Amino acid sequence: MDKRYIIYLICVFVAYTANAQILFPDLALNDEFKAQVKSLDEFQARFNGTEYKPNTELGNDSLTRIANLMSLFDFQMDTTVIDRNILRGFIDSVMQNNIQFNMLSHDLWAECDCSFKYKGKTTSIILYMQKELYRREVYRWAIVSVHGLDSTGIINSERFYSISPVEHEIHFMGLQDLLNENPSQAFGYRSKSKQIDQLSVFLTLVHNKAIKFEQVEELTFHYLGVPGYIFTIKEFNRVGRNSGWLINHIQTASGDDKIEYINKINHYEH
Amino acid sequence: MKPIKILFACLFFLFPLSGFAQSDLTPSDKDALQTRVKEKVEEFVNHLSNIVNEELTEYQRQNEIKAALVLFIGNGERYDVTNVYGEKEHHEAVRMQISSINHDIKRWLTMKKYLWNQYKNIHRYGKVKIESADVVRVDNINKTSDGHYEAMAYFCQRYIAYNENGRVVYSDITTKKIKVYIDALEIPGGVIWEAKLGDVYVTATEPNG
Repeated sequence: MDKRYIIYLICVFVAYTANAQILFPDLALNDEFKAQVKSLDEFQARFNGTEYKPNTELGNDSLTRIANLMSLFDFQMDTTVIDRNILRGFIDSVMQNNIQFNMLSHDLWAECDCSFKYKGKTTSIILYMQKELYRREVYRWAIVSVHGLDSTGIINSERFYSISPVEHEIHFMGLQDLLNENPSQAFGYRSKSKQIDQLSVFLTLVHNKAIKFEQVEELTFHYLGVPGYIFTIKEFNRVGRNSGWLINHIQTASGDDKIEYINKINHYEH
Repeated sequence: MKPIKILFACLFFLFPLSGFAQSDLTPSDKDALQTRVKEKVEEFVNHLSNIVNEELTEYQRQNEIKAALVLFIGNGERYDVTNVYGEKEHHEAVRMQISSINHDIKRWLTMKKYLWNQYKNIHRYGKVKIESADVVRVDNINKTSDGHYEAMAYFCQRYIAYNENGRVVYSDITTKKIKVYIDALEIPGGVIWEAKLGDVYVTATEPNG
């Protein structure tokens, strides 16, 4: 296995440092464009071995697949956090389990770090999305979870406010003051046993035009479909052949770790 | 494998067929659809190139703007789309993302404003040249709930501005993505793929050469 990695690294080095642009500007323009992972479809095709990054055909199916998988990593990834053994274990897991990356998989989440305008200020809210079957053969992205309403102050899930224990005698007339005069405390009047559903709150704010979408600041895909591993994908807009949609983080993860990861996305951690 | 073979392998590149996903199209339908989308993108880049072509008259260049806008959904104006429930979805006019090697921030302009800016740029610079790489990738083909298709087209474009003395004053290479809306129009004996272009996103801008 080590030998294959060394061979691949030589190839990557040669391909990566080749500066054909000086001599053949148009060839270089096209070559870089071809090498970039321009879309997640292309990422999927290269991950699954149905397409290859230029210069990674090494005359051996298994070696080519490894080279392709390795080329899907961000070469500027923090190697102090991600060591060689993790990468090797990941490649082995993909190869041995014949893992196919699938954009429609329930193992794939899109994390959109968005900016919204709320009460005149820009605030950050994270939307998690998944693809789902909408109608026959028609898929769509759907929002599965919202994070950040706590930190922006839109809701406060920690504080609970009191409705007077004798309020029933006056047919809860006090609700008029509590709800109408203190709307910022509204979420604190709920039962301690009830969690705030951030997705519903968010959609209600949008529906009532209380917040306004500005833009997606950062987009990250989380993929949990490789046994033993979780990785994330981001788009790297930069010069060179190692650009486009690339794996920017990978970690080992047991089955329980993955359940915890999903629960955090879905706010089921408590 | 001997090192020489490895190096030899590195010198070759391969540009394989694009991936397909989430649609019920036959392979020949997909080929036809991709070809149509590529033609539309190339048509757009040609118009763009003509808009900044100082050898054409002002009138011809203005007509190129009109012809370019027709390629876009809503013809460069605000537009509505009827959804599966018969409700109208409102959309802003199609936009173009603008980037420069001199600024980190990307901004958006309506396509109409962008094209008119390009039109005016030859007065600003003297001569402007816009070329596209001869590669357009089309993928992410998806069927939508109302029976249309949507896809993404990817291409890169070289922009060179010269001053009156013919000296290059600005030059970049930008990789772009265009959202494309596709309708299958049934005609006797087959299907025609009608494609309309949508918002254009900038992936990367880098110095040219």
